[in-house]
Amino acid sequence: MKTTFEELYDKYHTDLYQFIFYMVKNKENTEDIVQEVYVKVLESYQTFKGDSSEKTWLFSIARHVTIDFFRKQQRKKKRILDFFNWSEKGESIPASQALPEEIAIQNEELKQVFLALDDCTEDQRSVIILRYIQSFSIKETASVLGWTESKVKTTQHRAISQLKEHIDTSTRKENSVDE
Amino acid sequence: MSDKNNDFKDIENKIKKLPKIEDNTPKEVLFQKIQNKMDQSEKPKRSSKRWIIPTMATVASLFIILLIAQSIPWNHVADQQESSMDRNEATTEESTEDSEISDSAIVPNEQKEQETQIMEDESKDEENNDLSESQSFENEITNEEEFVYHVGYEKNENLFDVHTAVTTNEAQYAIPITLIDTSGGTDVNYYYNALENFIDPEEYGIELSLLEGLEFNIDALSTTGFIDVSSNFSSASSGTMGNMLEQILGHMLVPYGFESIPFEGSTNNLGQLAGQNPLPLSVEEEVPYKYYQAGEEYSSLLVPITNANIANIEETLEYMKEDEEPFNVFKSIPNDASITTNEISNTTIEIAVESEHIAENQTTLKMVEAILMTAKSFGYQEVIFDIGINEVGTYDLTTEIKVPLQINPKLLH
Repeated sequence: MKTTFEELYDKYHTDLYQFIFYMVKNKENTEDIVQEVYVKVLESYQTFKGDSSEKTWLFSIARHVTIDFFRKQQRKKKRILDFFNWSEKGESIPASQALPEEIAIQNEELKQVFLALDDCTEDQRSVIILRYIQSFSIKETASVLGWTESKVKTTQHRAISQLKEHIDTSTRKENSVDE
Repeated sequence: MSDKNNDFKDIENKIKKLPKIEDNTPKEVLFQKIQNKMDQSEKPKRSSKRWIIPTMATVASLFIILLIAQSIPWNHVADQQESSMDRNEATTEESTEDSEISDSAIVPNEQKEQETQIMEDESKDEENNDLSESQSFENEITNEEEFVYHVGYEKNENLFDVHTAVTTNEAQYAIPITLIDTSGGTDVNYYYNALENFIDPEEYGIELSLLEGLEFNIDALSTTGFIDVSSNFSSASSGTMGNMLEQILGHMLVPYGFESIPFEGSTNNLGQLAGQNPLPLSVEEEVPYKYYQAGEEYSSLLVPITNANIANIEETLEYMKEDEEPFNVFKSIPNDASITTNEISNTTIEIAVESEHIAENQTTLKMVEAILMTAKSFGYQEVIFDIGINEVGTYDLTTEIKVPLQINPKLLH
């Protein structure tokens, strides 16, 4: 098992960590999810038949585990809001967290892009990260997400539009404050 | 337009410039954490069998004492030490085999209940009960290794059934397959839109291509959503293929409670189905089950025979004695069988089968599972078998057997 782990780690760990981090934007959660992904991968490695490439198989599991994480978070959030009956107020409170150090030291434009990822859907964010941060091809991205290539292209286009809109709005707001 | 393209390029370039985020956890530490997690998830399985080693050691010790007592005079001490060592080795082997059993995925409830019972008894009266229980485990080990099961009884809150369907290679019949997701996820689109990642057509000699060009956007829990038809979808162009697609979608979606499903996108490509949007869904009931096997090198699958037009369960069971070789579909009941049925209640039926071929073997197990699925399709919940043997595989035929939860189950992850 250790050998399998080491092989996977050496080949994909940096990309895997990167993918999950940009999906959840929090290092602690990323570490938990990464561990969970390896557990699932190592448990099912014997049954991997090589129908897809090892890389796309690993990332499709990573995406699956990450989406499960989001769902659990949502359920948890809903339970808390239901308990306090704060739903209306609660939903209007934006989830804010400090920028990771690596992002905080970047210029304003990159910070804006990073923050704008929050406005994308999970699907859009997956496509953006796989295509532009991980440099996956359209075909590889389609395989990871279990989509057709045309859906990847459409989602990619919508995601970029979404990011542009967010950045334009933020820029307009900043300009009006300056004036 | 060109400005827009430039803007898009600009955003794309900025995304590419986002920094690499380093994981500061050393590889060794990460591996240790993963191993701990894996150990934790395995612990309950192990603890349930923890009694095996001390028990077998106790039994071995008692046996040695008995040998010593019988072998007076006491001048063969060295020989006895040797035999004691042999037995200890045997104990270790048995406990290893046992841990393999705990990893097996799909076993009927009866066995699970037996295992649970064993765990309960363990705390009450370990020393008295363990010998006979470990003997019965040995029998199960043999069965477990020999038999292949085509139905499942898996049910717990962490499992989610993904109902899918494929077609035989001649597209004569639709074959339901149940993918069992152990991760607790409920997103069926993840599976439906990449079935080839989870079902290997080469393993079964089946076709998945009918669904190519359809993209599922559904929520199985709320039974909402739609199927997007792409411009290159052409699988329903003929009436036969349209009917087959209808059957497949029925097998996939009806178990979740869908009564119909809307199509979006290039719906003109749906052929005869285009006029029915949303498409009403159903699964044919009261059908016989046989086995599809594309060739010797392929695994077999249970298949509901949907064109049989049969009036009652007895006729249906008779129909299960016939091969349909041109379609690689084979009988599930021996053709010399004499069959009688007796409806005990709305939910329970007694089925007696007499045949020279019935024995504790794979063929009989396949017959039992095909009969269980057939009974289920007639609305029964339990079957009482009278087939001249008391058990086959993990099925205890001396008592009523519940109909299965999953057909052609395939455990994922």
